[in-house]
Amino acid sequence: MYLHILKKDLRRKKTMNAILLVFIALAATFIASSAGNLISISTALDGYFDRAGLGDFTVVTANNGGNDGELIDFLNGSELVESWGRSEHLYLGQNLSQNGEPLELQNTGILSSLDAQLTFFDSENRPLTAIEEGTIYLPLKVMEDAGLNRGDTITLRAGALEMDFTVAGNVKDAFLGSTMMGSSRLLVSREDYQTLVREGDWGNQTGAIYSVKTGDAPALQRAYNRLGFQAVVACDRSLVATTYVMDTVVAAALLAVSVCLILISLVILRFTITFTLEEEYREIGIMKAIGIPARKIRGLYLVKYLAIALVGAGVGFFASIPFGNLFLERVGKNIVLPATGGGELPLHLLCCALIVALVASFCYLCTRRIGALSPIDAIRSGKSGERFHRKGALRLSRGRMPVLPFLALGDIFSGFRRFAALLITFTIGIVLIIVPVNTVNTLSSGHLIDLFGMTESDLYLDSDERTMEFLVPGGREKLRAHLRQTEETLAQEGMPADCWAETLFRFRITFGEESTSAFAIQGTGVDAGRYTYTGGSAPAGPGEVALTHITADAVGARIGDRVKIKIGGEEKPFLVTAIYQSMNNLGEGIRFSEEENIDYQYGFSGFATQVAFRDRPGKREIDARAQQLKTVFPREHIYTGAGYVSYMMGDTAGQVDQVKQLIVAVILAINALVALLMMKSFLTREKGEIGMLKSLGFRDGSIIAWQVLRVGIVLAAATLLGAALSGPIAQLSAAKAFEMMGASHVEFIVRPLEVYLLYPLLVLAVTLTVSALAALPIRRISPRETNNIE
Amino acid sequence: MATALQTKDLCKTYIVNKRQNNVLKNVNLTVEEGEMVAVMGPSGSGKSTLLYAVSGMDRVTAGSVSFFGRELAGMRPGALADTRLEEMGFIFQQMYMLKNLTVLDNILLPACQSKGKRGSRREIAARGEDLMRKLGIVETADSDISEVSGGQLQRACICRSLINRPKMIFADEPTGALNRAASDGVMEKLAEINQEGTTLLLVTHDVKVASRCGRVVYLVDGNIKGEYSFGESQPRARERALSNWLIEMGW
Repeated sequence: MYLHILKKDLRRKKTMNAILLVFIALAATFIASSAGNLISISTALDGYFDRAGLGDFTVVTANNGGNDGELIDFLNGSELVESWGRSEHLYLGQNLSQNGEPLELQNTGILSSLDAQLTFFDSENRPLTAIEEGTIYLPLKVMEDAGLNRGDTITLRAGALEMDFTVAGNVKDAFLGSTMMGSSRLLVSREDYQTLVREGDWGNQTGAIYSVKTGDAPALQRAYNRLGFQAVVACDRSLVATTYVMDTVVAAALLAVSVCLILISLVILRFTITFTLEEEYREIGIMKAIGIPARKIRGLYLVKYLAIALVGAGVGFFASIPFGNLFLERVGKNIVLPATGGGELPLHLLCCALIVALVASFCYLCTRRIGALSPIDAIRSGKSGERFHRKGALRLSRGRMPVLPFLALGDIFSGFRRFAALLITFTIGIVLIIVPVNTVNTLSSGHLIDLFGMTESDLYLDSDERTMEFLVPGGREKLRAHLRQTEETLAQEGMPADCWAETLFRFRITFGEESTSAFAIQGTGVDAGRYTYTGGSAPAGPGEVALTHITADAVGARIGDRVKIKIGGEEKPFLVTAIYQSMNNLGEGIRFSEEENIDYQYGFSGFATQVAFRDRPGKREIDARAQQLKTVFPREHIYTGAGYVSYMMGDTAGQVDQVKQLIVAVILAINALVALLMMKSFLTREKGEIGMLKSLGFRDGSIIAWQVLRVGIVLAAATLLGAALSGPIAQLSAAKAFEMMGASHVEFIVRPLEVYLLYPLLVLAVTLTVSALAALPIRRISPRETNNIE
Repeated sequence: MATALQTKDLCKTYIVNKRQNNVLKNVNLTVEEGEMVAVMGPSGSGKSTLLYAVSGMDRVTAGSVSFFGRELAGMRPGALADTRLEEMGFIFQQMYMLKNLTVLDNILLPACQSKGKRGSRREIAARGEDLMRKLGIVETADSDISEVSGGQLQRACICRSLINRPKMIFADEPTGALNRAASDGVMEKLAEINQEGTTLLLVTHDVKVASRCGRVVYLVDGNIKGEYSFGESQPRARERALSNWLIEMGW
């Protein structure tokens, strides 16, 4: 008999059973895929570094013709070093071309071959064991920027030597793979590399990477810092991991989405089970009335929900694999992930089993009341008696509110629990949209330039080649002359402007016993007072510096302390006058006053020449001038503020933007689905009320509007709630990413029109359209359904 | 006196499990303006179906339904809804009301939704309270619908049906869920409403209720088997006469 009742029930309550099935399948999909991703991503970097054999401490040297004797002595002599290896490379300048056109690398190019120090991976995550002669592997970013595809030919020139290489594909490089690392490694075969070294003219464009195994990387770092060796980069694994912060941010964003999806699934699941069970009360009452024991009735429903849960979880299990991979693909571009989808199948299966257990538990809890209910209570939909508490303050008789909003608001206020699931789902969705939108807007605005040790300007004229001309004895005078010349040229073009530039150094800074090697910066043509400081006052003259809080913390210095900075072999005292924040080299920084006399031969690089127009043109005019100046300054790349930030951050904004688009699409789909299923649930439940309103003369359109309005009001409330929560949540999520890069506080750019109007309207339009479509069956409900009111 | 409602060869057929069920078969019924007509008949005779068909709540399969000279059968759903809202009132056996609204707000709902000039919200509320006062339930105005008795609720339903000053009220077993005292009270009020000029068509099983009407139509198997118009004026006599007639009809 039970099977018979069950079969009848499944057939008769098709809609509600189907809704429950879909929600269980969704929950299983989200939870299984999200849990799988959680494991994959959280172990991804460590696993990747282990597989690649990345050293615990790595030093990159440059331009010394392989003369790293002092470093080699240190590595051989240090007790902290367990073993070390060395691989050589060549630095690429304007050496590459394609079809006769120079191939510009966005950051420093390094050419090397496979060696024993590090394992590289191809795009399919297979270790590269050999490279064919005549072929070259490039980082994905380089290929994308240059529009290169597998099979294309590029030419490498070094003096008289010219060699053609066929692009074999892209390479994943654990050490230099992050776009924030500032260098891109290109790989050729050992034979080709030997030929290039032997026959090419490389001058000082040589370097080496030292990969060190140690049991105590921080101690080795401290010992290395005391050595005062001039290297391009010296960092431990944790610092390398930090350069993947943007990949981690992308992963973290997707993880946040996954966690939210799990939350949404549980909320919706709880709602649906309670909702469907309430539907059953009348029948439960009838069964009790005819004498079926409560235990057996409960068993009947448990079997039914278990059957639905098993089918739903099964569907969810299979759907979770492609859904999880969709997210992981975004993260796996630069990182070799331990397993994508397939490897996590047991976990997916476990999650689906958990869903089944969860549904059974929910059902068990919800049916607990069956035993306590009298048949009549059950027939009265589980309500044991009269309800005497007052309704909300809204009264049709007292206000002027039109009927439909009144009905919608009345429903929400008097049955809030029914709408809580919608509110939570929509709020999570809005937060998930607002936070990445604000992050993308912040990343793609020019304002972040402050955090790179610069002050905002209208245009940025960048040329590595030009910068190198100033890194010689007397280079600062050359730089001043160049800035004057640029100002004159601009004035001749009818664009009077002030120009300045930043020069970069790496110096050892000591305070008491603590010492560290830090990135240092000095502006020429700009007063140090124009930069932003978080405390103190700008270094105003010689002997004064500002430190980033990371560098200050590294040596334990505070404002008012006197630190020592080793410049060209001579250690000089400096007064710390200010603290600032910077994202250069993950927060390192020493800023000198413009008055400080530093020999620019110790500089290693510089930022672009900055141009601030005196006539304060608008954005459109600045863009037009940028175009015009391309012919005036053919050697320079010309960027706007946003463009230069993007260049500095390796198109992080683009990556986050892609994630944002994915999130928006997922949120829209989830909102639409949840709204659709909720509307179906409400329609099934409210057929009687709808029939009654029809009998009173309410038009179909009005009733549909009433139903849709409820979703709209909940969504509007969710937008307000989401907007209010997005600030603190951004500080807990996206701001942490900036913090990892050295910026302790970031003011997010909020474009109110976009964040509080455009995106909510998009969500509103999609959700309400789906709700209205889901409400269309109202037209088929007859006024005679009034008789079904309970 | 104008004709309020007229059906010609009205048929209503349901198809259940591919089987045709002719519930109404060529029903011809006329209700004059100001009349109070009861429809009686055994269970399953098609009384409620007739009520729903002539009030535009249900589409007819064949035939015509004229409501104050306007044909309902071919009317678009929106126009039908407007006719129900502005010109008809409904009372059901179960006192259907929206659970989230107070008694007064339930009564005001059709007036607030009305497109006709029903006055300001304050005037509408005053009219609602007048109606409640008239039906003796004004003290329940702010009550939750679960706080009032069945009789009070049914009287609230009558108030709701009257709020837009309809030309005609359709009532399906309006006293079916009430005890005798409450039933008498409700019928008293319906009779008063009719005396004030509102046409009434009601479906009932109750001889006492039907005896308060001016005319009784007896329906069997979807056909009008007979009609009875009262000649008596004393309630007891009317009741007895109707009972005798119903027995003749096979009741």
